[in-house]
Amino acid sequence: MRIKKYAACMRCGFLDGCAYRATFITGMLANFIQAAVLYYIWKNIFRYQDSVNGFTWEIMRQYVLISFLCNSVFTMGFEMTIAGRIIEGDIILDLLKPMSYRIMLFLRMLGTAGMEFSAGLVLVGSVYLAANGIRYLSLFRCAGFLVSMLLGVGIKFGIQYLFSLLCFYTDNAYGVTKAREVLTNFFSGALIPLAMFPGLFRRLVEFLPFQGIVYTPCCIFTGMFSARESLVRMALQIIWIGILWALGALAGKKAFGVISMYGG
Amino acid sequence: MKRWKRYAGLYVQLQIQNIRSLAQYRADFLMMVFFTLFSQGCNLALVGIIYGNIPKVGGWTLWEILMLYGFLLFSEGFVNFFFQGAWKIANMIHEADLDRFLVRPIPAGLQLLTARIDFDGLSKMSIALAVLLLAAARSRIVWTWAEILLCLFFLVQACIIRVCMIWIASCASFWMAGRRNSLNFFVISLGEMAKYPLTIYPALLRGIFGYVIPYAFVSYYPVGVLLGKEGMGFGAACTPLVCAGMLTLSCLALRRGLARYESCSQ
Amino acid sequence: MSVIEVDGLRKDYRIVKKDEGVMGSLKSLIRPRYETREAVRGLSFSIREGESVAFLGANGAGKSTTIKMLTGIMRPGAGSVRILGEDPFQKRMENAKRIGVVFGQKTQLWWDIPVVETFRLLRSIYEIPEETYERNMKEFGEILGLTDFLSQPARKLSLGERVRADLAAALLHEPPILFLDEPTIGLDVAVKQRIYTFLKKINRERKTTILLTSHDLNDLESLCRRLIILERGEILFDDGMEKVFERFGEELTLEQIVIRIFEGGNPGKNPQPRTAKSAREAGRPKGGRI
Repeated sequence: MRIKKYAACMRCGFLDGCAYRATFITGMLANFIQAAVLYYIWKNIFRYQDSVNGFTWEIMRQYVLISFLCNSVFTMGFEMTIAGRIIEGDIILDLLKPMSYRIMLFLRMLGTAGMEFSAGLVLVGSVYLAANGIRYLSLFRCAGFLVSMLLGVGIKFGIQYLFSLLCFYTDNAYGVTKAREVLTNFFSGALIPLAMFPGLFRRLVEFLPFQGIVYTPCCIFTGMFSARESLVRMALQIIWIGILWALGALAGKKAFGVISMYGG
Repeated sequence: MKRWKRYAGLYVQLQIQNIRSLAQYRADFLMMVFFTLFSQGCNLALVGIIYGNIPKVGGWTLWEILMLYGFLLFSEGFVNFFFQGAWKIANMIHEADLDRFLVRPIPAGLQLLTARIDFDGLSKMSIALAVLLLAAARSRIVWTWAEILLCLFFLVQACIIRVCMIWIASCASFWMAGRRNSLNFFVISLGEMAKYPLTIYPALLRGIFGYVIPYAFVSYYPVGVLLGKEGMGFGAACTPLVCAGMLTLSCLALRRGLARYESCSQ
Repeated sequence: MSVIEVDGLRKDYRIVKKDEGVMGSLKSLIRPRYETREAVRGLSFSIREGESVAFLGANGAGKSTTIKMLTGIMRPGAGSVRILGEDPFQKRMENAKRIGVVFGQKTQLWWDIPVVETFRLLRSIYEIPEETYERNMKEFGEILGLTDFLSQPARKLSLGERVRADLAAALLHEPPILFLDEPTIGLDVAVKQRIYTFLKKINRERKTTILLTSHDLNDLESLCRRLIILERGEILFDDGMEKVFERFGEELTLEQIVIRIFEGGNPGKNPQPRTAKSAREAGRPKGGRI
């Protein structure tokens, strides 16, 4: 019974993803452009030197593509949607449904993410094969990457959920989305491999959840992490999912209390 | 002429009312100032980190890149503060706000442009100005009055081109279903690319990034000319033309869009 | 003199046809299919100065589409509309000065600024002379009781206050024609009464022509002399309010007649009064459709 309900939610998310095809395609394109910009910046840089901070062009070009794949899954987020529902008062209907609001959101996101991931995989896969061939692929690392990336989606959800709760306090959902995007992009390694961060930053990043979204799966894929380190990093991802889930529960309780202010 | 004067007056009046609404959203405003400082801090840090590892990108130094950054951020803030309505066409259509604009005896375009305000634009413009001043002081430019005027002239044009870009992208909502139009997000994210010199991209991307969506004229050519880089003169000279072209296109997009809305508004 | 003349007005919509389920969504993702729906199918009527006319019809009967074409928001598919002798669509801005519009569902006040500032903005937008503005503000303020909330921003108003303010906003520039699209939706009896009293007064004293759509049949009955019933984009009935009873049965209330019309049967062909039982059945509200 429960499974059926959950499946329905995921299906809903999937359909959402399809319905807003224009949104999806342009969002994807925007991400792709970001990746392209980085690709060419690095290409230009590597023309003058062979390695930057231990990264070679060979690794970097893989990294850019794979980080794009990780990052393109559900970047639009649901802050704007939630803000819309708060402003129009529909949020109350969501909260009245006989199901945890958060689980519902998560399943919808998973549905949309599934749709986006498959589209992204086709795009990145073909670009990757065209650029690199099958030279660097290994079954073990690919499997590790997939697991780690899924865990990354969990972390991403936790973060987006916390940010979406901010929409209960501000009308500026776009600003919130943007801030979350910048924060995530910067600290997750989507823009620049975390290994390149200067000392203090590097240590700070270790204590933040963001690296689990992009940097960990990417490093597993490119073989920067050993098998053992990969497993440790995945465990760290799981721990962060737990922490974010707990934080979300706490903050959620508080935020939903605000709704009464929007009544009438 | 008299008509345009009246519209300019109305713009000021509408915008003053928008500014007054800040009083309603003070907490919101402070929060956004914080967010903006933070995001822009991240962006600057990214540039810093890249330059921490290498001396030049495409032959441009850190301070030169920051000039590009300043031009882009300033024009973005300008749109946010003065013409934020350009972002909101999709909402206006979806929530039937456009209907009430159409039953008033002033142009729908004027009402759309002033439909919203984003105070975040103020903080963006201030950050951009600070970065610009810093970069200008550190660059090799000898600042004569002529140079300063030229810089301001380019800045104004950058703002105009930015407004038009978002406006045209937003007008696409007239043809799209759904309440979200991510085309303008897309156009904004293209701005990422204009933060670095155009020469690092291959010809195809340069064509799309720089000319089809004319970011080259927002930052690359103006800053290039100011810095005395080679081969920038012609591009910079074309900037006013691009401006005029974008304005024309904007008018056209609105007119065609409204015609479509009128024939099937749903 | 006719202030509104409509001749052979038509409007078709092209809508995207959606299929059910995941496969259907994928299909429409790749290749959307369209189908045409006729929203308005050849309306002709004319309205004289100072008339008050009610538009009635089920959801989807074409009321809103018609109002949109009359106010110049939407381009007519075919046929012609003349408001005070001009085409409202071609000369939208000129037309806008001569009409007032209230959408009950949607406010035209600026959301975040005090109501009085909205009025000041409208004064500039409509170029209302100072004297007229002051006079109207005073009069509307008294009748509609605006003074209590003039300094509040629109988003803090109750629905009743908002609609009253909207009504004043639509009439500040003294338009000869006033369009109201479901102005009283969701309002309580007292506010409705106030609004209808006001409308009657405006209609009587200023000879303002009023055209309104509403689901509130009792109020239509008290306010409007003439009734136009739309059904699937066509005019089903267009005559004096009292004639509707002559035609459909004296003993019925307006509500009962309307329900009969909307339930599909054309009561005009069956003027025989029904049994008390069936009349009662027909009178039962049906899912809030009208």
